[in-house]
Amino acid sequence: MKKNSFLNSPSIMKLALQYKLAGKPPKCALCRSRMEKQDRPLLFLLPLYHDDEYIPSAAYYNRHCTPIEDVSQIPTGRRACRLWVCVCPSCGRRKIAVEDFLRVRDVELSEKYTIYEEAELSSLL
Amino acid sequence: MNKVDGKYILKWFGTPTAVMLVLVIIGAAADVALLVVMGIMLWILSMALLPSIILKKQLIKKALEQEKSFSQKGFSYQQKFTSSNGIFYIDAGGRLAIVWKYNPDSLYMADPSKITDIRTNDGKTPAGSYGVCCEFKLEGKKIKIWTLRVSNGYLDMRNPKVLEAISKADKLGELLKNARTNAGSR
Repeated sequence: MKKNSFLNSPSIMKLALQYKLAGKPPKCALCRSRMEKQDRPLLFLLPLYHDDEYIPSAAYYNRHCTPIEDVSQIPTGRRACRLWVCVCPSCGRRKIAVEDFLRVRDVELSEKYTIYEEAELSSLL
Repeated sequence: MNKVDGKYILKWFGTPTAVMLVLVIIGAAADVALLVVMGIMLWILSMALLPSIILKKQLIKKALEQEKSFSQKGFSYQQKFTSSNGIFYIDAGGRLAIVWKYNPDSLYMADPSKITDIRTNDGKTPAGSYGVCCEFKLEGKKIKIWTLRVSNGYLDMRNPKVLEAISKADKLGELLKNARTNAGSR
Protein backbone atom coordinates (compact mmCIF):
# COMPACT_ATOMS: atom_id res chain seq x y z
CA MET A 1 0.00 0.00 0.00
CA LYS A 2 1.27 3.44 -0.91
CA LYS A 3 2.10 5.54 2.13
CA ASN A 4 0.70 9.04 2.52
CA SER A 5 3.80 11.22 2.16
CA PHE A 6 2.04 14.28 3.65
CA LEU A 7 1.16 12.57 6.90
CA ASN A 8 4.48 10.76 7.07
CA SER A 9 6.56 13.87 6.65
CA PRO A 10 8.61 14.27 9.84
CA SER A 11 7.74 17.93 10.34
CA ILE A 12 3.98 17.25 10.26
CA MET A 13 4.33 14.34 12.71
CA LYS A 14 6.55 16.44 14.95
CA LEU A 15 4.07 19.33 14.91
CA ALA A 16 1.14 17.02 15.68
CA LEU A 17 3.06 15.44 18.55
CA GLN A 18 4.06 18.86 19.88
CA TYR A 19 0.41 19.99 19.73
CA LYS A 20 -0.74 16.85 21.52
CA LEU A 21 1.89 17.16 24.23
CA ALA A 22 1.65 20.95 24.70
CA GLY A 23 1.56 21.72 28.41
CA LYS A 24 1.41 18.07 29.52
CA PRO A 25 4.16 16.49 31.59
CA PRO A 26 5.83 13.56 29.78
CA LYS A 27 5.24 9.87 30.42
CA CYS A 28 7.94 7.95 32.25
CA ALA A 29 9.98 5.82 29.85
CA LEU A 30 10.33 3.02 32.44
CA CYS A 31 6.91 2.61 34.08
CA ARG A 32 4.76 4.45 31.49
CA SER A 33 2.91 6.49 34.10
CA ARG A 34 2.33 10.21 33.60
CA MET A 35 4.94 12.33 35.39
CA GLU A 36 3.87 15.16 37.71
CA LYS A 37 5.05 18.75 37.42
CA GLN A 38 6.60 20.17 40.57
CA ASP A 39 4.71 23.16 41.93
CA ARG A 40 7.01 26.10 41.29
CA PRO A 41 8.51 26.48 37.80
CA LEU A 42 11.74 28.37 37.18
CA LEU A 43 11.52 31.46 34.99
CA PHE A 44 14.15 32.52 32.43
CA LEU A 45 14.49 35.27 29.86
CA LEU A 46 15.38 34.33 26.27
CA PRO A 47 17.29 36.58 23.84
CA LEU A 48 14.36 36.49 21.39
CA TYR A 49 11.63 38.93 20.40
CA HIS A 50 8.09 38.26 19.14
CA ASP A 51 8.15 35.59 16.42
CA ASP A 52 11.94 35.09 16.19
CA GLU A 53 12.77 31.54 15.15
CA TYR A 54 15.26 29.14 16.74
CA ILE A 55 15.77 25.41 17.13
CA PRO A 56 15.02 24.44 20.74
CA SER A 57 17.78 22.34 22.29
CA ALA A 58 19.30 21.81 25.72
CA ALA A 59 22.52 23.49 24.52
CA TYR A 60 20.58 26.57 23.39
CA TYR A 61 18.75 26.93 26.72
CA ASN A 62 21.95 26.33 28.73
CA ARG A 63 23.72 29.08 26.81
CA HIS A 64 21.00 31.72 26.51
CA CYS A 65 18.68 31.50 29.53
CA THR A 66 18.89 34.38 32.02
CA PRO A 67 17.10 33.72 35.31
CA ILE A 68 14.40 36.15 36.46
CA GLU A 69 12.19 36.18 39.52
CA ASP A 70 8.82 37.22 38.18
CA VAL A 71 6.88 37.71 34.93
CA SER A 72 6.83 41.47 35.62
CA GLN A 73 10.57 41.49 34.79
CA ILE A 74 9.92 40.41 31.20
CA PRO A 75 10.43 43.41 28.85
CA THR A 76 7.73 44.14 26.25
CA GLY A 77 7.96 41.83 23.27
CA ARG A 78 10.68 39.66 24.80
CA ARG A 79 10.25 35.89 24.97
CA ALA A 80 10.72 33.95 28.19
CA CYS A 81 10.59 30.30 29.21
CA ARG A 82 9.45 28.26 32.17
CA LEU A 83 11.23 25.15 33.37
CA TRP A 84 9.28 22.51 35.23
CA VAL A 85 10.89 19.60 36.97
CA CYS A 86 8.65 16.60 36.26
CA VAL A 87 8.83 13.62 38.62
CA CYS A 88 7.44 10.14 38.02
CA PRO A 89 5.15 9.26 40.99
CA SER A 90 5.97 5.54 40.67
CA CYS A 91 9.73 5.31 40.16
CA GLY A 92 10.92 8.86 40.97
CA ARG A 93 12.60 9.38 37.56
CA ARG A 94 12.96 13.11 36.71
CA LYS A 95 12.68 15.06 33.45
CA ILE A 96 12.52 18.75 32.63
CA ALA A 97 9.73 20.39 30.61
CA VAL A 98 10.53 23.72 28.95
CA GLU A 99 7.78 26.05 27.75
CA ASP A 100 8.80 29.04 25.66
CA PHE A 101 6.19 31.81 25.69
CA LEU A 102 5.51 35.41 24.72
CA ARG A 103 3.69 37.48 27.33
CA VAL A 104 1.31 39.99 25.78
CA ARG A 105 -0.27 42.16 28.45
CA ASP A 106 -1.84 39.51 30.74
CA VAL A 107 -2.05 36.70 28.18
CA GLU A 108 0.69 34.15 27.61
CA LEU A 109 1.19 32.87 24.10
CA SER A 110 2.89 29.49 24.20
CA GLU A 111 5.43 29.09 21.39
CA LYS A 112 7.38 25.87 22.00
CA TYR A 113 7.12 23.02 24.49
CA THR A 114 9.97 20.53 24.78
CA ILE A 115 11.08 17.81 27.20
CA TYR A 116 14.69 17.11 28.27
CA GLU A 117 16.55 14.75 30.56
CA GLU A 118 17.38 16.29 33.93
CA ALA A 119 21.14 16.00 33.33
CA GLU A 120 20.91 18.05 30.10
CA LEU A 121 19.60 21.17 31.90
CA SER A 122 21.04 20.58 35.36
CA SER A 123 23.06 23.82 35.17
CA LEU A 124 19.81 25.83 35.15
CA LEU A 125 18.30 24.19 38.21
CA MET B 1 7.26 67.55 6.78
CA ASN B 2 6.82 66.92 3.06
CA LYS B 3 4.94 63.64 2.89
CA VAL B 4 3.97 64.03 -0.76
CA ASP B 5 6.14 64.97 -3.74
CA GLY B 6 3.96 66.43 -6.50
CA LYS B 7 6.39 65.46 -9.28
CA TYR B 8 6.54 61.87 -8.08
CA ILE B 9 2.74 61.65 -7.94
CA LEU B 10 2.45 63.18 -11.39
CA LYS B 11 5.02 60.74 -12.77
CA TRP B 12 3.12 57.66 -11.58
CA PHE B 13 -0.51 58.78 -11.68
CA GLY B 14 -0.22 61.20 -14.60
CA THR B 15 0.67 58.63 -17.27
CA PRO B 16 -2.38 56.33 -16.80
CA THR B 17 -4.62 59.38 -16.49
CA ALA B 18 -3.22 60.83 -19.75
CA VAL B 19 -3.65 57.47 -21.53
CA MET B 20 -7.22 57.26 -20.27
CA LEU B 21 -8.01 60.79 -21.44
CA VAL B 22 -6.51 60.13 -24.91
CA LEU B 23 -8.52 56.90 -25.27
CA VAL B 24 -11.74 58.57 -24.10
CA ILE B 25 -11.27 61.58 -26.41
CA ILE B 26 -10.42 59.40 -29.44
CA GLY B 27 -13.26 57.02 -28.60
CA ALA B 28 -15.75 59.88 -28.25
CA ALA B 29 -14.57 61.58 -31.43
CA ALA B 30 -14.62 58.39 -33.52
CA ASP B 31 -17.84 57.22 -31.79
CA VAL B 32 -16.21 53.96 -30.63
CA ALA B 33 -17.68 53.08 -27.22
CA LEU B 34 -15.20 50.23 -26.72
CA LEU B 35 -12.26 52.66 -26.63
CA VAL B 36 -13.97 54.81 -23.99
CA VAL B 37 -14.81 51.78 -21.83
CA MET B 38 -11.30 50.37 -22.28
CA GLY B 39 -9.71 53.69 -21.29
CA ILE B 40 -11.82 53.97 -18.13
CA MET B 41 -11.23 50.31 -17.20
CA LEU B 42 -7.45 50.67 -17.65
CA TRP B 43 -7.48 53.80 -15.50
CA ILE B 44 -9.47 52.12 -12.69
CA LEU B 45 -7.13 49.10 -12.81
CA SER B 46 -3.98 51.22 -12.67
CA MET B 47 -5.38 53.36 -9.82
CA ALA B 48 -6.09 50.19 -7.84
CA LEU B 49 -2.71 48.55 -8.51
CA LEU B 50 -0.41 51.56 -8.31
CA PRO B 51 -0.51 52.37 -4.56
CA SER B 52 -0.76 48.80 -3.33
CA ILE B 53 1.81 47.04 -5.51
CA ILE B 54 3.94 49.29 -7.70
CA LEU B 55 4.47 52.23 -5.32
CA LYS B 56 5.05 49.86 -2.40
CA LYS B 57 7.86 48.16 -4.37
CA GLN B 58 9.24 51.56 -5.31
CA LEU B 59 9.22 52.57 -1.63
CA ILE B 60 11.19 49.47 -0.59
CA LYS B 61 13.69 49.98 -3.43
CA LYS B 62 14.18 53.70 -2.70
CA ALA B 63 14.40 53.06 1.06
CA LEU B 64 17.23 50.57 0.48
CA GLU B 65 19.05 53.23 -1.57
CA GLN B 66 18.53 55.74 1.26
CA GLU B 67 19.87 53.25 3.83
CA LYS B 68 23.25 53.24 2.04
CA SER B 69 23.65 56.95 2.80
CA PHE B 70 22.77 56.57 6.50
CA SER B 71 26.40 56.12 7.62
CA GLN B 72 27.40 59.40 5.91
CA LYS B 73 24.71 61.19 7.91
CA GLY B 74 25.90 59.57 11.16
CA PHE B 75 22.67 57.62 11.48
CA SER B 76 22.73 53.93 12.37
CA TYR B 77 19.27 52.51 12.79
CA GLN B 78 18.40 49.87 15.37
CA GLN B 79 14.77 49.34 14.49
CA LYS B 80 12.97 49.51 11.16
CA PHE B 81 9.19 49.50 10.73
CA THR B 82 7.22 49.43 7.51
CA SER B 83 3.80 51.01 7.47
CA SER B 84 1.30 51.68 4.68
CA ASN B 85 2.54 55.26 4.26
CA GLY B 86 6.28 54.91 4.75
CA ILE B 87 9.29 53.20 6.32
CA PHE B 88 10.39 54.35 9.78
CA TYR B 89 13.89 54.03 11.24
CA ILE B 90 14.82 54.60 14.88
CA ASP B 91 18.51 54.95 15.68
CA ALA B 92 20.45 54.29 18.87
CA GLY B 93 20.45 57.97 19.81
CA GLY B 94 16.67 58.12 19.62
CA ARG B 95 16.45 59.88 16.26
CA LEU B 96 13.66 59.09 13.82
CA ALA B 97 14.12 58.92 10.03
CA ILE B 98 11.24 58.40 7.62
CA VAL B 99 11.05 57.52 3.93
CA TRP B 100 7.53 58.47 2.84
CA LYS B 101 5.65 56.37 0.29
CA TYR B 102 4.69 59.35 -1.88
CA ASN B 103 8.06 61.09 -1.45
CA PRO B 104 10.67 58.31 -1.39
CA ASP B 105 13.49 60.31 -2.95
CA SER B 106 14.07 62.37 0.20
CA LEU B 107 14.82 61.24 3.73
CA TYR B 108 12.85 63.02 6.42
CA MET B 109 14.64 63.35 9.76
CA ALA B 110 11.87 63.79 12.30
CA ASP B 111 12.27 65.37 15.70
CA PRO B 112 11.08 62.70 18.20
CA SER B 113 10.19 65.42 20.71
CA LYS B 114 7.32 66.34 18.35
CA ILE B 115 5.79 62.86 18.69
CA THR B 116 2.64 62.86 20.80
CA ASP B 117 -0.34 60.61 21.62
CA ILE B 118 1.51 57.28 21.25
CA ARG B 119 -0.84 54.34 21.72
CA THR B 120 -1.58 50.82 20.52
CA ASN B 121 -4.84 50.39 18.63
CA ASP B 122 -5.82 46.72 18.83
CA GLY B 123 -8.74 47.16 16.39
CA LYS B 124 -11.13 45.57 18.85
CA THR B 125 -14.75 45.16 17.74
CA PRO B 126 -17.45 42.79 19.05
CA ALA B 127 -16.55 40.42 16.16
CA GLY B 128 -12.79 40.48 16.88
CA SER B 129 -9.84 42.50 15.62
CA TYR B 130 -9.72 44.02 12.13
CA GLY B 131 -6.04 44.92 12.56
CA VAL B 132 -3.45 46.15 15.02
CA CYS B 133 -1.38 49.31 14.75
CA CYS B 134 0.74 51.71 16.72
CA GLU B 135 -0.73 55.20 16.43
CA PHE B 136 1.00 58.48 17.12
CA LYS B 137 0.94 62.08 16.07
CA LEU B 138 3.99 63.65 14.43
CA GLU B 139 3.81 67.43 14.19
CA GLY B 140 0.06 67.11 14.72
CA LYS B 141 -0.49 64.60 11.90
CA LYS B 142 -1.78 61.15 12.81
CA ILE B 143 0.45 58.26 11.67
CA LYS B 144 -0.39 54.58 11.93
CA ILE B 145 2.16 51.78 11.73
CA TRP B 146 0.25 48.57 11.14
CA THR B 147 1.60 45.37 12.64
CA LEU B 148 -1.39 43.33 11.46
CA ARG B 149 -4.07 43.92 8.86
CA VAL B 150 -6.91 41.45 8.49
CA SER B 151 -7.88 41.58 4.84
CA ASN B 152 -11.09 39.58 5.06
CA GLY B 153 -13.19 39.68 8.22
CA TYR B 154 -11.96 39.64 11.79
CA LEU B 155 -9.61 37.60 13.98
CA ASP B 156 -10.39 36.58 17.53
CA MET B 157 -8.71 38.80 20.13
CA ARG B 158 -6.92 35.75 21.58
CA ASN B 159 -5.65 34.59 18.19
CA PRO B 160 -1.81 34.20 18.30
CA LYS B 161 -1.44 36.51 15.28
CA VAL B 162 -3.38 39.27 17.06
CA LEU B 163 -1.43 38.81 20.30
CA GLU B 164 1.92 38.91 18.49
CA ALA B 165 0.83 42.03 16.59
CA ILE B 166 -0.24 43.73 19.85
CA SER B 167 3.15 42.85 21.35
CA LYS B 168 4.96 44.36 18.34
CA ALA B 169 2.85 47.53 18.47
CA ASP B 170 3.46 47.86 22.24
CA LYS B 171 7.20 47.46 21.64
CA LEU B 172 7.17 50.08 18.90
CA GLY B 173 5.24 52.46 21.17
CA GLU B 174 7.82 51.90 23.90
CA LEU B 175 10.67 52.65 21.45
CA LEU B 176 8.98 55.86 20.32
CA LYS B 177 8.44 56.94 23.93
CA ASN B 178 12.13 56.28 24.66
CA ALA B 179 13.13 58.22 21.53
CA ARG B 180 10.96 61.14 22.69
CA THR B 181 12.51 61.05 26.17
CA ASN B 182 16.06 60.94 24.74
CA ALA B 183 15.27 63.85 22.43
CA GLY B 184 13.89 65.84 25.34
CA SER B 185 17.01 65.28 27.45
CA ARG B 186 19.45 66.30 24.68
